[in-house]
Amino acid sequence: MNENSRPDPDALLAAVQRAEEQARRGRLKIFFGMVAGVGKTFAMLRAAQALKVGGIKVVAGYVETHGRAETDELLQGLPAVPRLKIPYRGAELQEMDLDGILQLKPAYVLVDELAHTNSEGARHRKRYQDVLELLEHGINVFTTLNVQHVESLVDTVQSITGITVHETVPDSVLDRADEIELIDLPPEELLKRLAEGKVYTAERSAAAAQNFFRKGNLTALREIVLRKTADRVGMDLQDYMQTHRIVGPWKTVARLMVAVSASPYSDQLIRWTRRLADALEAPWLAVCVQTARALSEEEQQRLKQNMALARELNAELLTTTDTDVAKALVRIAREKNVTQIVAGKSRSAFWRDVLRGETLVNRLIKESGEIDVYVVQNEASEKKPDKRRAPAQHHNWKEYLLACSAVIIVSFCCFLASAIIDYRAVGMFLLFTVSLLALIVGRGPVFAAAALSAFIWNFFFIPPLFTFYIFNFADALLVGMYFFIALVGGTLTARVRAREIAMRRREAQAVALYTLAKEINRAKSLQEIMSVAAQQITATFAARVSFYLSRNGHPPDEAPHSAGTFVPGSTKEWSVAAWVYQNRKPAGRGTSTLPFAEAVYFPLLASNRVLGVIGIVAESTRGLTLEQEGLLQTFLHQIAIALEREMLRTTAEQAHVLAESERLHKTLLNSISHELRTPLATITGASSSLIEGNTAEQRELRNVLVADIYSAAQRLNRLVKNLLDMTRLESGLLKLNLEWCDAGDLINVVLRNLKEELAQHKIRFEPVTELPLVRMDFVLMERALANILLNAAQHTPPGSTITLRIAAAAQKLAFVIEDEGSGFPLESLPHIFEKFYRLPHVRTGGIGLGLSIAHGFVEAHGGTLVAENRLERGARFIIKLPIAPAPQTPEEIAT
Amino acid sequence: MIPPPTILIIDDEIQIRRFLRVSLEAAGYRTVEAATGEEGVTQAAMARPAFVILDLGLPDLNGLEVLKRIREWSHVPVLVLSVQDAEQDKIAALDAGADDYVTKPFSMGELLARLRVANRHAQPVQDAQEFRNGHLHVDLVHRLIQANELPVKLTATEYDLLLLFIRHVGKVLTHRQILREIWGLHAVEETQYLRIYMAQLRKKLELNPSQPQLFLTESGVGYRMALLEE
Repeated sequence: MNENSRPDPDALLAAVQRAEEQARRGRLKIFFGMVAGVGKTFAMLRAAQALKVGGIKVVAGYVETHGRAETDELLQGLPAVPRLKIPYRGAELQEMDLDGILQLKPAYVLVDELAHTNSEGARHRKRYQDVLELLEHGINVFTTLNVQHVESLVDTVQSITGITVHETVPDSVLDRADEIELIDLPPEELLKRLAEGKVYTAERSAAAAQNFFRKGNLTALREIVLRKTADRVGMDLQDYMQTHRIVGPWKTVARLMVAVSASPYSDQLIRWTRRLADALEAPWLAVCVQTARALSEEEQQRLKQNMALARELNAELLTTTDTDVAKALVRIAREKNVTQIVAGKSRSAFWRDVLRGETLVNRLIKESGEIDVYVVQNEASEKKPDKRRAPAQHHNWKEYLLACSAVIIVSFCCFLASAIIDYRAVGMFLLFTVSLLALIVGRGPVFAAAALSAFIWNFFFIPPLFTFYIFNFADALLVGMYFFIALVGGTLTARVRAREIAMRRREAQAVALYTLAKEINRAKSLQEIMSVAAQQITATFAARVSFYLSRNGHPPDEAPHSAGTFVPGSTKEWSVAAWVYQNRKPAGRGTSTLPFAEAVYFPLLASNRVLGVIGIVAESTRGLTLEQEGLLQTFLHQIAIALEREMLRTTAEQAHVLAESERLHKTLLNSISHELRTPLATITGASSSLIEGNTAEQRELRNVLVADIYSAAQRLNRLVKNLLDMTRLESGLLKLNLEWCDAGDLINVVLRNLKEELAQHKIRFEPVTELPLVRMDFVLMERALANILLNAAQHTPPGSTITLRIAAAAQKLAFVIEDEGSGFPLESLPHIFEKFYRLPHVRTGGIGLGLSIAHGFVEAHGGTLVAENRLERGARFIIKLPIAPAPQTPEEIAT
Repeated sequence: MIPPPTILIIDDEIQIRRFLRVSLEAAGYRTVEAATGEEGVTQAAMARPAFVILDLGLPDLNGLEVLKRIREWSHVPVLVLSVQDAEQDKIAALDAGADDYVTKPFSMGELLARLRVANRHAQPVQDAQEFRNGHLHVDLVHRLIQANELPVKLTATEYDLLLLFIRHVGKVLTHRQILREIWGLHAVEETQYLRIYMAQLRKKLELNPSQPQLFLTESGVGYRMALLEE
């Protein structure tokens, strides 16, 4: 295959991806017609009946038969999902029960009238959004649609029929459809059906025939619907050819771009571009350039709507900030390899063009170079052209006031001093004032100040005074030049200032983003990340925030995260958040899904997972501007990444802790079972041997076995003792029975009790007289010392010496136990007081609890236990207990 | 021929009862068993035992309760069986009139030794004029004390303490019991008195004060004067 005939890899990939996506999602089939009455619902029901015969589960989600008998008949036998009843201003409205269908999970659902607008209180504003959600959940949908409801065709339909359509379906939904079935009926036939009352009831039929069902209208609509369907079929064919590597006449890659503004004509432009893009089969961009000029509330709203329209029509959206719109557009066009730019023909008056310099279109044409520019005439519509300029902003009149009062004050001062200063100097003063004003106020106020000052100068200062009449030609020239300089200077300064403001705004955004990134990276816990996020969003957007975090992949709890600054009034907010979590789409206030929520909710997405949902309540009633929304998206992305990082870290940590505790558990089980089984085996073996009888008669043998049983039992007893002691320590319920005790006596008791265990060793204990009494729990300290001594006896060879010493110094009583074994391996020294720690490669019996218990008991007394290797050889343990002030002693001894 | 002394065993564990019965009968005692506290109290009245071996952990009645009910009408020596780490129970039993205790698990030799001591106590106390125990010799009439044939001088309190031990030789005395007897009710918590006096007594009367043979410490419970072999 030669190079040229190879299918475009990007297009091929897109086709494959679309196929994969479609396999997961439900299939959408649209029964497409030119007007009501051609039999779309009828065709849909017939298709449904056919499926039902095939044993497939089909339910009627929402079917409107308009009382048509033959349609009604077809609906019989199809299970219908009961409609949702929504109370609305006393009346009751019926809507499709979306949740009911989702719960039922049918294979196919029938949803009539795709373009329908839901009543308030439904989850989505539009029915097609319901349908999209059904598809997301893998449910196949049959639906009906008339051509006049297709968004990009609204203008065309309007120009033909003169009717403005309000209920529209975005082209993206049509593009999304897996199958479009055209339901066609020649106009004559339709009119006949209408006359027979098969479409509407008699009186409505008459009205409809007059308004809409005129033959001309119908023919035009029929052509549109046929063309739209043909386009669609063409695209399907192209897809097919691409996926099956059929070489076809590939078009050159065209790329369209439309400039979107707050203008009320912008939507026409957007639709026009979409139609052109369809015809060219080209991708298209919608670009919005934000200038320094602040938009009015109304303009903001319109701009948002325009951008939303472009998104619905499947455009790629871009927003940028620049003072020069034409330059920005061309820059983006070049970056994005755009081949054609679409711009609207300006309607502004001639004087305006002169005043503002060249029109945007002219500039575009000049700057665009090799890129084509389409200039589109705005079609006449009943929309009243709004004032292009925003009504004065709220702070604007203040600027005018400031400008005028500054001019008046300066003039007044000059007037008072007119005796000593020349009127030409006054002109300079005023010019200076206007220039200064340009640094502070906008273009309008500067213009006003320039005009006012020119008049004042002329009237009050230029002879003849108090007239506008000027004597001499030079003065007239001066006034003219003054006015010109003031105007130009002021305008230029204002423009520079505007540019600076735009730059500052961009800088502020960059700083805000940088601060967020810095702070959030510094956060060490989930809690910190959330508080940083809340803080930064509140500071940057003047908005309150609430967070709903997913818990290990489960939907978020009803209670929002404590770091949030917005506490929702009801659990309704949570249900919105839960929807956002489930569907990964924004919802809430200002969106078309669940718009009655207090906040707008966005999913926090990272690595194709929803980590949580963030709710935002803007303090100002206007909501967020388009620019802020863009920044917010970047913020959310940052937050999601930080969250993901933290969650991964926590998971790793938990896994580690789990592994560690599992290891400990295993060690414990292994050693305990070994330690329990060994003496048990001895006891079982020896005693069974005694029962057998053979051995019982040999006295010698019997004695050995009995002694073995006895010592095994002793060993078991010690083990149980240790386990119980450990449990006491671990339980945290260890209560010391503190009494004044005699340390020497303690050693005596320990040695007496361990007589058997220490029999193999030489014990050296030199008692010290005059030792102070120490407050301690005699039993526990006895246990601690016994454990250390047993440990020493187990780890040193028989016959070696174990030395015990007691000494009192510096408010401490020290017990020192030294042995003559091999000491501790250096690497073990830090671990010997850990639970279940045993010296590697040493088999002594015991489960590694003795020293740990001794350590615990000594520490419970506020004392210390350390182990070290002696310089000579062997190990040394030192217990130090605090000595309390001497107790009261009986008188007799004291004397 | 004098009938062998009867021992009442009150314990719910059949295995413990069995080995006690076998061992005690081998040592020449007669045994009566009770598996519950209630039955134990009844048997103590019916069988008139010479000793009672009482387990403190009974399923129905608290062992201490059984002890108190027996003590209401009888002075029969009672030996309680207790478990590890239950010093408070042992002290409570001793304070409630038990004569001695053994901690489970125990060896038979230990138990039989305790029984012998209790047996000696059960003998009617004659007004002895002198007391002999190993190297210790006390002339109770003249208050003369000899340790290892050498005269020893004791203070008044030391002598009182010694007398207390002599009266209960072989038996455990709890700290409270000793403190109450010697220093009075207000001093029952002042264990330091006891530590100091015991040290003094050992210094004066033990052959090797650092390895006492006579005055033994029962850790966490009290002291006992051992019965030394002649």
